[in-house]
Amino acid sequence: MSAELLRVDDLNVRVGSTPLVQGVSFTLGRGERLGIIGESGSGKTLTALSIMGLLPDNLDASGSIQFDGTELLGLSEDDLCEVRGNAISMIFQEPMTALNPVMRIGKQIAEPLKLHQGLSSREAADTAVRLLDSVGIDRPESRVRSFAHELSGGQRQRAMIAMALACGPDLVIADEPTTALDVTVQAKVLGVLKEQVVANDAALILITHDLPVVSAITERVLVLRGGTVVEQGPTDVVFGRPADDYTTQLVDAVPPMSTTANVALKPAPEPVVGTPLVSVRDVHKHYRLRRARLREPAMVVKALDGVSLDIYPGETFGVVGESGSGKSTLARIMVGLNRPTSGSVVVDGIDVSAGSDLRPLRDVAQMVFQDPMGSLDPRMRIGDIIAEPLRSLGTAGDHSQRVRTLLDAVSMPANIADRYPHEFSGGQRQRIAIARALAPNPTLLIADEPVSALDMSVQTVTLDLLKQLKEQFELTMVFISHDLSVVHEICERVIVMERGAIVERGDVGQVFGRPSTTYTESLINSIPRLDGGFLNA
Amino acid sequence: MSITVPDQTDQPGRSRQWRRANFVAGLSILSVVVATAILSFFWTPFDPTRVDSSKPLLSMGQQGHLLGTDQFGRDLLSQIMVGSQTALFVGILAVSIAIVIGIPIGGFAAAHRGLVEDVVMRISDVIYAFPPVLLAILLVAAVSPGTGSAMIAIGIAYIPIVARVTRGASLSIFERDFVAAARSYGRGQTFIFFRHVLPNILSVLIVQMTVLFSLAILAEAALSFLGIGTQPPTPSWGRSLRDAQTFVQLTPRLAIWPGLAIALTVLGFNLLGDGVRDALDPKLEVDRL
Repeated sequence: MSAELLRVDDLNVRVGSTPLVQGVSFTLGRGERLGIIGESGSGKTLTALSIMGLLPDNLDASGSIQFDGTELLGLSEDDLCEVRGNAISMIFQEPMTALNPVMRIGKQIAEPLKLHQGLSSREAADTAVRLLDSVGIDRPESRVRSFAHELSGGQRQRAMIAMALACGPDLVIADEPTTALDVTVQAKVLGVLKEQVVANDAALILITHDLPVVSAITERVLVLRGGTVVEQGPTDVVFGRPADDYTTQLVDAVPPMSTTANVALKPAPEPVVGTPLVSVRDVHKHYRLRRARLREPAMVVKALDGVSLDIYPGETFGVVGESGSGKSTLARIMVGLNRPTSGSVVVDGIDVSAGSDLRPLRDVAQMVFQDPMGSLDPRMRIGDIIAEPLRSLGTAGDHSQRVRTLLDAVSMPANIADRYPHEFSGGQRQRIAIARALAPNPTLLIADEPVSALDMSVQTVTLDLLKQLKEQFELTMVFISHDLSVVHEICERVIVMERGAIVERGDVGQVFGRPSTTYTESLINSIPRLDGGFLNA
Repeated sequence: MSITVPDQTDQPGRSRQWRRANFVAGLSILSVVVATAILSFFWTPFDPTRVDSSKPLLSMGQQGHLLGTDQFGRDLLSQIMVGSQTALFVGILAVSIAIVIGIPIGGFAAAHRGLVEDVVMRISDVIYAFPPVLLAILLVAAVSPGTGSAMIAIGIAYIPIVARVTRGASLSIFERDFVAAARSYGRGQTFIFFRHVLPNILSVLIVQMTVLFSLAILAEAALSFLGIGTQPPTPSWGRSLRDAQTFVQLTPRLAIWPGLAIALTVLGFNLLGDGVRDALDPKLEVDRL
């Protein structure tokens, strides 16, 4: 942390006359690791893009960005190209879109090497293999010949890290590098990132909304809100004794499971009684993939492989698992969006497994989707969106009163009925989606990752709302999430799924406190925690 | 990336003003064309079909003929004015045929993946593979040459185009969660297509429609030029171009003016298409107020 590497002074970014980043100043020493945290719209990505000189054309940046003695703002595109990928490199959030889908991984890693270091194709190819090896990709000699879609999400992000470090940069900027990954993969990728940055003597700017991730990797942290810096300082000090109200809010929004190493044992819920509301027996769901070659048999993916469970009236039932574990398929079968290949599913006495009439199911089971941007029809007004299920189910009469009641129930003002979804934030849209799901007065509400797309502080509020609505509308809730800490907070009983099968089930306190399978244990140990301990799991 | 740069179209920037200028220009051009068509029902400077062998190939301005006359002594301006009726008529009806049949086919294919989709799309491919002109010749041979046959042939030829565009745009919308939500509260595929999917692909379709509209006008001109479209004495721009052929070296004006009419109308539709697409986007409503 000797010499100063980067000095950002009074950075302002604006679109037209609207400021997006205002007066951001910070310095970064050689080899230092800095975290920039903030919620969506806080300007954290724009700050990073300004350093890289990659701002969209319609945005103007002013102020000063000194990198290693050179002023970057106002530098010509040609000179910036010298810096980018060489002295400064960037890791993006979504490696699938950040990697060129028609270029082999090895070639992509070799590209900056040939460009900036003048290596021959052969040398660059050898270096690519070595780099892939160093980020922990097994069989790197054959992996360099792969395309991006042939790698898993974690491998792709490792390849991105290898690419970013290829030219031995002085500064690596990582923008939400692990947000798109499963927790267990996230822990490993973050470990590799930290290790590689340290090994290469590079400085790091890590941009994320996730406080535990920042605390695990960085020494200093910058908190952004609405384009301005509200607090900065050593990571442990800022998170341990936040000076600013907003930082305090962020720290408080971290779920309890993420604050300490020990999962507080939840008291066992009251034993379930009565007949189950949902009864799933030995359900299989197979998808037949299009055959790749004419003579080969079509591949079959077993999304669900013999799942059985009972959900009792009035409980909140958690389903956890990583992507591809079949949890969304299970949800879609329970609301009748998909039919199981075999097995039986009975919801409130309605058989939804066979080719039965699903009509009666519609006012029993409703669903809340993950992405509130995609689950509301952008061409419909809010009032129509919420009234749609009522119209669909043939409820006669004027629905405006019901719409008002529902909006009130999700704490949204009644006068928004005439507006369109794009006028609302993610959290507000999710409330609207919840109101729509409640419109037919269902007994079963299935929430598929309902808070995953939301900012941390909005997550807390939305979870509280769901809890409150569950009481108010006497709902039974199925809560699906990859995020164990959220499930821990809201659910009473839980199942853990892996590759289409249930690997563990029981009370939340028992499953999370004393996991009986290594899979569950690794899930729990990978939860990012403010003390950073998860990296060594 | 979690970047929150506002949508480019949301800004009152230069590109948006440009688009508004396009819209106004397109609307102005088309208003003139439509007004001319309407006017020509009641009044034209001369009878466009009256042959007067005493004044062939008058140049512009002579004897009150603003754009002169053709080799048969017919007034060119009057012909172009009445020709706009044919152009609009063919454009509107051909495109209507294409969308009324093509949109449901495309939507049906998108809503029912698998075998149904394959069959529907392959049939439309077969029609697509047929050159419109050949289709028109077949139809003309089967029925009779004329504006009506040309129009129907053009309409049929465009059905697969509309069906393909509709299907392609619908596929991604059918994957969206609000469609899953609609299914979960009991809406059927047909309702979902018309109520949820169609409004979301309307902007794509409108742009496609304006392009087809201009193509239809061009196609009619081409068919009339070949002599299998609009039949004399009914004036049509393509017809005028055909008649000008013989004398094009001597009096290029006979080809230039009808050609200009075609070009301007096509341009007008294209400009209007861009503007209408913007106007239909609720995201821009705030901006408009």
